[in-house]
Amino acid sequence: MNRLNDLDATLPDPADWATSRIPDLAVLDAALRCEICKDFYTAPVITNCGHTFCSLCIRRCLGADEKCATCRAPEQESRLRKNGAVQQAVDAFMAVRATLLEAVSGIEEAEVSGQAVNAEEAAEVEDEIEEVADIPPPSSQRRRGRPRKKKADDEDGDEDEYRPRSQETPPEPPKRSLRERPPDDGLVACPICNRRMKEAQVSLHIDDCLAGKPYIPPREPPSLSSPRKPSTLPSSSAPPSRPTLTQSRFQPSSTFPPSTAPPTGLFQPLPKITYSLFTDTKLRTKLRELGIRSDGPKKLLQDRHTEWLNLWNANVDSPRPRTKRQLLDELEAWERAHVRPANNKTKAPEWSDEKWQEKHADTFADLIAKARGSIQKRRKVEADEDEVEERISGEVEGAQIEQLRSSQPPPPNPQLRTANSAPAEMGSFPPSSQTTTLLPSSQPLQQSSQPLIQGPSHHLMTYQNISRPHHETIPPHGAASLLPSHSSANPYPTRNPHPPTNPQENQYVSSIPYVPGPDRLPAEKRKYETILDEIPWAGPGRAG
Amino acid sequence: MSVAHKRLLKEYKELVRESPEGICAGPIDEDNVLEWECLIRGPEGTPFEGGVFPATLSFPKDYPLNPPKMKFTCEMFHPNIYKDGTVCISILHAPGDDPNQYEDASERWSPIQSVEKILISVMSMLAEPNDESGANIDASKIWRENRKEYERRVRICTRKILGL
Repeated sequence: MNRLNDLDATLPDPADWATSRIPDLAVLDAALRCEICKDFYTAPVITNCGHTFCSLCIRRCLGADEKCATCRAPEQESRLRKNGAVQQAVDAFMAVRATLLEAVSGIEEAEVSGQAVNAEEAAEVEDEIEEVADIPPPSSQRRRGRPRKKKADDEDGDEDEYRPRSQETPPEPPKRSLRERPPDDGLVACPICNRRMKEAQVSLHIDDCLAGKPYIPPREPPSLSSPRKPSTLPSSSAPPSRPTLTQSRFQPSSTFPPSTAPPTGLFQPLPKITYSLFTDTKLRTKLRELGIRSDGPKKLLQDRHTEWLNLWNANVDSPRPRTKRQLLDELEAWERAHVRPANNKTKAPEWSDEKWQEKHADTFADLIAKARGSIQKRRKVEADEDEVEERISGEVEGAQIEQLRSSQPPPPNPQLRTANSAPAEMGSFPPSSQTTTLLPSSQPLQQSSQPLIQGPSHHLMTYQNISRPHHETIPPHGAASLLPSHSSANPYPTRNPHPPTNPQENQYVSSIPYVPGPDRLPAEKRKYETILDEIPWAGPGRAG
Repeated sequence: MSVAHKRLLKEYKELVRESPEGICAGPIDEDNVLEWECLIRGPEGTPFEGGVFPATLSFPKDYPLNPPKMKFTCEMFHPNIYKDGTVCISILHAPGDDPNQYEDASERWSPIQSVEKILISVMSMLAEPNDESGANIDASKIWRENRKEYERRVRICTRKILGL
């Protein structure tokens, strides 16, 4: 119910009048609403069969089915015509709606207090009062509002004595204030400053009024405002206490006061196109020409184009056209609301860690076993270089292996030497090729923009020299766990978002200047650990 | 707020204010106004009398351009209600699709229809099945050939709903 009360504030509807002193205004309110969106007409157009709708509403409908929504007579978009009279009526009504509602409501409290005063009639009225007290406001208003409808019209007071009295006495103030200013001069009061002016000038004035400028009786020729119907209501005319959706629709008028709005001629209606005559590419070009997004499959392109036409052509019908930017925003909103799921499908499939892990589970397991085996072997005896190379061949691309095999070990890099001179326990670690190559998998996170392949000498250099200094910085269990991540990346370097390559290893080494000393170690270790956490496809390895 | 969202809130507000007799409807979750739940009272003078039948309404994102789907969440024995509870009624069919090839366009969905009108139509459909469109063939057949048996079967459903 709370939510519904909020709705009351944000969604004005004809029922707002049910509790007022003139409930019949609900009919007028309803008459100025589009049957499709149930909101006040926005840029109303009339069909050939004489039914009026918001331009955008009926255009969307006709896109789905070329029939009038009300009578189902065949109808075409091109035959729609602006309904200026209705636009004027809506604008005029919107301008006074809030004020009017305020002026004719308030009867409820007044009547209740009136009853309380007349205590001697309490016996008769008791039930009524209880009803008022017990029932939550909306329903009580409704129940009580209905019978009053007739009472306001014919005040014979045949059934209840208290009603006529309460009508005579308390609710008068607002009523009188209405009567005090009958529009005998044919002018309309500004809802903000109450200055009286011609109806057509109100909208011009309100913007200034809100901006704090004094009212200057306009001397401009009427032609300025007449070609585009006198728009009497910008949103600002409503008291801020009753912000309404419908009014917010009119907001653009405050950003585009009629005087500065682009002439309607600027917006020419766009023609429909026959999509079957357009290939994907042609349609994309067309969309680009229109300045709207051109991605997605053909169906989406069509829908987007249709919606853009609807928005654009409805805007042409509007007396207060919006900018292209605003229309683009609306198109984006439409896309978000209607086609987002379809749109997602059109994008390249997202990288899925789970799928990757599943697909290469065997490889992962195999590599983990190999890594463990090689570590153990190394601990027992010196590794056989040939065997090691064989293992590399299982993981590294052929080209790279060729490079590895053919190239000679380069002279040791001075930088690496410093690294090599680093402390202690690294000596116990085997310089296996696998442990070497596992490093780069974490590296691309830091340097993803590296060139893929460099000279073969770098490979060997990193292969032979780098492993030690780096391994000592990695927790022992991390060494094995890192393996699959590398191997998973290497066989499919193009699909991997961060293809790790040997040259990067080298870059990596040089990018982290190694400072020997125990102080350096914890920081480095932490770094690796964070990197480990960030590697999405390192999962199974870490689990193992 | 999208058009569908806004319009559904308006309809909801209207229904809360003044809903037709025997009908009650509203969003299941107020954050998702595209899914509604409704209760329909069995029309008097029919074997459905006395029962209150729950159903869900699923609105498309482009509502009101396209109609919602309605599905009873209780067991229903009716010629125009599929065994899974889906309601087959012309007002819920978009102008383009006519599963039964007989419906007059004027009975079909149009954006000026509303939840209220749908529920009223369904209520009257409960009272007067349309045997031209058999969604539940068994029910259609029994309804046409053995009205007493039909009423008996319906009453069983009604009693089930009441937990008897």
